[in-house]
Amino acid sequence: MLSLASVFLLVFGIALVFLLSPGARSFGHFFLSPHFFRLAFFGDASESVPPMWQAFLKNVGLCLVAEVLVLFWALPVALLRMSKSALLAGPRLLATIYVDLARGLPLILVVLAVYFGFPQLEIPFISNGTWFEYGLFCLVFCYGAYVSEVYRAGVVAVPYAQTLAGQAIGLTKVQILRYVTVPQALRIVIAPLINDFVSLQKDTAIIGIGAGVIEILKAAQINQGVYFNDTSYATAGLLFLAICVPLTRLAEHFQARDQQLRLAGSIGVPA
Amino acid sequence: MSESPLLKVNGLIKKFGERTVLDGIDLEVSSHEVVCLIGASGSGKSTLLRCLNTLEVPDAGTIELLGVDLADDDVRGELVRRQVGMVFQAFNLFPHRSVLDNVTLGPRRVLHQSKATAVSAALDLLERFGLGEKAAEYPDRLSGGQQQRVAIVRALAMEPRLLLLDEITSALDPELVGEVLDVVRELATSGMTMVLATHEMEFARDVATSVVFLAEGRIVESGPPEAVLHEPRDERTKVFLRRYLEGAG
Ligand SMILES: Nc1ncnc2c1ncn2[C@@H]1O[C@H](COP(=O)(O)OP(=O)(O)OP(=O)(O)O)[C@@H](O)[C@H]1O
Ligand SMILES: [Mg+2]
Repeated sequence: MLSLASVFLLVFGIALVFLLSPGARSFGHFFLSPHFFRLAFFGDASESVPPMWQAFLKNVGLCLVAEVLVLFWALPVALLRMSKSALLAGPRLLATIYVDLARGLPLILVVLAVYFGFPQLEIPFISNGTWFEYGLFCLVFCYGAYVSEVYRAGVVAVPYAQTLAGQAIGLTKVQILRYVTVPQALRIVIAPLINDFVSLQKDTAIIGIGAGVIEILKAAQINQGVYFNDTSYATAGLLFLAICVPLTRLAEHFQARDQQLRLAGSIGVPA
Repeated sequence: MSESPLLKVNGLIKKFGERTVLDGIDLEVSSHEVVCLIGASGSGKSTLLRCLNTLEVPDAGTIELLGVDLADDDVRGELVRRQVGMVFQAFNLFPHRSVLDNVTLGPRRVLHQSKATAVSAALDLLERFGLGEKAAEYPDRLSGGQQQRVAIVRALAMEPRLLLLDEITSALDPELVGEVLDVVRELATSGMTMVLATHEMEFARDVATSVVFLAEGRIVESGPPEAVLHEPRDERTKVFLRRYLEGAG
């Protein structure tokens, strides 16, 4: 109760600082105007301003397709990274280099390189991709590495004792994966996966820097250029929040469930 | 004594890196025998049990079950290997499966029983050990004692000829040990052949047909429980038992 009150006071205090600041009125007008919010959200045909909700659908579409591809692409990467066979030493090294590169490079640099670099290469197929294909490439390239690490962590998190227990009732290696290890790894992995997808969804905005199409970032910029008002950026923010906050709650729900599960079945003693 | 033993271990050696953990184990177990392995921590009890279940691969020596060498990678070896069940100290139930699904997984996927057959056999077994009402529960809803009993049932559902139990009560709260030992006692009475590592000396004296004392990977002393536990000949056995009695008292 006391902590709730103190949080309330804190928020109230910060709000006061903003509201009582000398520029409060002009800040409100330029960033949080209901009038310009309506114009940005629904568009304005007379000024040929596109509705932002429609532009946002492009981001949503891109992110949905990218997520599915990422799920698949990350699988062989994770398997290679986890492989122990000497035969796979070469591919394993390649996978490691890829993961390091993709996790180390900021997405915005990848976007610039792909959208402005690929067309200059003048290689048939690669140089004439659509904005959507290039966007997919950038997102899958970067997020595939993160998700492959999530997969890896998931498999590692299933105790070895579970494999032993599977062997003890005579299951084969493949059966142990299918009935014992993978189902548990999936449960462990689901929350971090959702978290990665939340940030993938947000990062579709970065695609707008390279893509010559009116997605959410471009739409906000056009809007700003027409009205000289920044409320369109706040509108974009609200649109992203509307998707990302529920997803984050969902991730937390799964996380709590997974924690419960991990405490069960086997206690903290090695087999 | 003319009957050939169910299990025959000859010159078993197991190393982990430089360390020799099992150093020439010879052991015979006949049907309906209950062999208790005792010995200090690190003496190799768990490693021996795991070798018997091919969870560890020995460096030398042979393990024969029903006259078949377990190292044989042929069909017969495979069939025989399935006839050894094991229960672990930490239960190792599958947390994502209900009690019933834990028990039926092996019979269905390894023995290829139909679902109906596997389920009805599993329910009978669960009933027999007082777990009938728990069939639909998940492991996290059970007490430690119940979980360990489910783990025993899961092993029994494979209809093993030999059951290996590795300190199955040492992770339990004291008040839950009894219910699990009762299950083992019932199995002993009903003629199940078992090899178990245990620190419960009184229990060993009650149910064992023979007691084997391990030290540093060797069998130092073995024989009927009264002999090994009450009149140990080897100095190390004496020291171990004395320390144990002091600890218990
Ligand atoms: N996988 C392994 N790798 C390396 N060393 C191991 C491994 N498993 C067991 N050991 C070592 O082998 C020795 C025997 O271990 P084991 O678990 O068989 O003893 P134990 O008699 O069961 O002891 P406890 O009473 O503590 O269960 C120990 O020194 C242990 O550290
Ligand atoms: Mg042990």
